[in-house]
Amino acid sequence: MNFPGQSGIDLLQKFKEQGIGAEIIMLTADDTAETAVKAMKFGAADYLTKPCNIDEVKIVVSNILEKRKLKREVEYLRKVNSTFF
Amino acid sequence: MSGKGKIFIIDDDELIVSILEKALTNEGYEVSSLTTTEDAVNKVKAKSPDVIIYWM
Repeated sequence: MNFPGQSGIDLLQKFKEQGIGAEIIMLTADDTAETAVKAMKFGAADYLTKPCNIDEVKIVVSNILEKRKLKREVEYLRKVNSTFF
Repeated sequence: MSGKGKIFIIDDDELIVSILEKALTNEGYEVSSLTTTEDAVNKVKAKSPDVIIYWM
């Protein structure tokens, strides 16, 4: 993808700096792990290589949303726990 | 999280974006997309998605 004056990783960093709390799935054409490892280091939740399989995308999205939901539930229960016990 | 979840796709390949958008909308997700990174941060912020699918 062409980024005017910035790399994909730069934009990923900007999302984090601006407090965008969304989980990020990187799509990469690399079948080497280098870019993917870099992306994960900068906080991407997962990555897929192009050409991507639609069913794989659906599974990855669904798993990430389930994890996100569980994370929120754990945070909520921890708060409740620390308030009452 | 509204409904099944909000997804934001950023990819300059319009065909990929359109295929992913249709497939994920059919799954019940609320899907938005961009085919350029111009003002991407503000546009993503405005939608507050749960997941960003991002081509780098």
